[in-house]
Amino acid sequence: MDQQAPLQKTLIEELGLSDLPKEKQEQLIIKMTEVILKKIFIETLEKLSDQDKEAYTGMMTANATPEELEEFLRGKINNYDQMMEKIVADFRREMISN
Amino acid sequence: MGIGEERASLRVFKAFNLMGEASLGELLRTAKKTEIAKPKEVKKISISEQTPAVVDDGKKEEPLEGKGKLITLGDALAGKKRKPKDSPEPAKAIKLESKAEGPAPAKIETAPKAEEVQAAAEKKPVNSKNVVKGQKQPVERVLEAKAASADKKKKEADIQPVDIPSGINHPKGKAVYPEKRWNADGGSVDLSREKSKPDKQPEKMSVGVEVFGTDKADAVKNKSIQEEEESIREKIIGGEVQATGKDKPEAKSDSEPVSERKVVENDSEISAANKNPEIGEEKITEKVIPEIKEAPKAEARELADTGELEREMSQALLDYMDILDAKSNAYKGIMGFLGSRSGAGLSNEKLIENDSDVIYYKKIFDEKLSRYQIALVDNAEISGASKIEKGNVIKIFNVDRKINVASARVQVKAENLDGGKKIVYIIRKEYSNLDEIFEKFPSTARKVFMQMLTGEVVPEAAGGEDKKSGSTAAEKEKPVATGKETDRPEKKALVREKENGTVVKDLDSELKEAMKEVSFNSSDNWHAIMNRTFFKVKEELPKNLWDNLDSFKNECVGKLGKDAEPDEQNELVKKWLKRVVEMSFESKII
Repeated sequence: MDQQAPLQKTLIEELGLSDLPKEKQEQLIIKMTEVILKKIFIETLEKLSDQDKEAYTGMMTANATPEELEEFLRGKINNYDQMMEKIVADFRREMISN
Repeated sequence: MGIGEERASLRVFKAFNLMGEASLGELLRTAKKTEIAKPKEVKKISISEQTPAVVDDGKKEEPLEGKGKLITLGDALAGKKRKPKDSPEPAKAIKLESKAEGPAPAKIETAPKAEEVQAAAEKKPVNSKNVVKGQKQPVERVLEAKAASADKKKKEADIQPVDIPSGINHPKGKAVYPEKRWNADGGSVDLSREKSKPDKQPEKMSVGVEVFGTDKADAVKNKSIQEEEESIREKIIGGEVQATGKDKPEAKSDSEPVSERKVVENDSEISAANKNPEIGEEKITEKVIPEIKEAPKAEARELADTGELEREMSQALLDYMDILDAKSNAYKGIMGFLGSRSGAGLSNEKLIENDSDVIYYKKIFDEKLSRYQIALVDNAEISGASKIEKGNVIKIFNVDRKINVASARVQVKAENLDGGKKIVYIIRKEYSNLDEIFEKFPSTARKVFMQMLTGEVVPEAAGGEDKKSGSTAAEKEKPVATGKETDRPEKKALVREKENGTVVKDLDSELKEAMKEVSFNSSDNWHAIMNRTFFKVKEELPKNLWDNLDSFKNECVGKLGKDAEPDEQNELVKKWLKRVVEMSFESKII
């Protein structure tokens, strides 16, 4: 495991939620994750052409696996990984900011 | 003792009673010194002397214009006359408020007027004109009742007949100042007051309305006996003096003295009464303050409906985000068109920031948000939450607010995208657990997110086992909540510790692995998967959930025959696994 781990704060800690009951922490994390997922989906769609949008949403409704979806997106969007990282990082910043 | 003597004694006794202050001893001492008034002397007090309302020729004199109009004692003594008929002053009985705190004057037993006594003694009505022969008049009845009461008292006290005290009820009426007072409540009271002892008059009695002395007969010349009797009749109902009509104050409570009751209605009445010269020295100085009802006790605080406030806040947030997105796109277009010509300092953010629509909707949202927050804190207070708990409420609120803003932004963006309805439909789903969410997550995003969540750099998935199982590197992270080192996958970040401190076996990753195996379309695999998962959760599930799962398993096994189509089998197994996961969550296993 990476040695940097102890130096990094978890999002929960940064939000000052460490003292909360675990159940509450869990609820908040679920909500945050849900928002990130939706955000990824929307921002991904924005990068796609109309035709690709149709194909992507079609895959979504057909319950395509995440791997299948990811493979599709990688082929359509440049710097897909960086984009994902940026979305998550932005969200994190948004959460931490006042 | 003749009837006349008895009546005279009675009158004296009542006169003393009226004085109120006179003690029995004082009465007896006085009685010894005085002579018993002779009945014939009493009879000398003629009606015309006291109430010269009937002229000698029997003509009924014009009723006094100001019937019930007030003449103060001072005025009466000064010989002031009542207003003549043509007086511009309207005939209006002014009710006056007394400062009295004592008992209601109406209740004071009073000595009958001389004419009444005389009339009663002679068994004839005061005004024979309006009296049916043989029928007792109310006044008579009152007098008789009073006489009987007085006789009884006299016998009880064994009081010998006494002379009329000097100055009181003098046969010639020189030193006698019988007064007729109309109480504030409309009851009439006759008072005999010794002139030399004005202090004897109950000071706190209701302010007199009509006052006239026997020696000031001309002050009431204009009033007929008939009129007076009528007024008496009005005041007497059923033989008892009662307040009548408008004059009757509404008792606020049984214990409230009549004199304290509301009489004067407003400032104008007070000022009018004070300006009235006939009222003289008895000024009204007090305005009755309406009774102040006791304020209702503060009701117990109730929990606010935070659900409703949350909905309002969410709606306001969506409106705000909507306008924000629309304006943002609009300004983006404008700035794109203007390009470098847009001028220094102009940017999208600044334009949006100063946009009136955006400001308006933001303000509404802020207000709703504030109300929601206050309600949450109030509810926590009402529920008796400790400081720490209240602090937690605020912490959760703050994080929740940020999440809601981000979520609303995403939703508005989705609605405004081409094919927005479909996209909104796709993303509308709200997830109850991370499994469902991560099923949809692209692996890269999941990795980054888990890194953010756990605070650890998540290495790329390494090792054949991970790849085989489909688990990502993020699934290997230690739990956020517990902070314990563990090799459990991502779900373990949220796994609840059991009371005994042991972490429940990760069912989630097992199920995910099992689901991948389902795609092999092997019935052996189905059964293997089902049995494995079933017995895995059996130990953890409560009996009711386990029974439920058991019946569902039998149902699935029944359908998973050899004849089942592979797709159908896959669906059933997936349903089964889903059910297992749901129950595991429900039972807090994971």
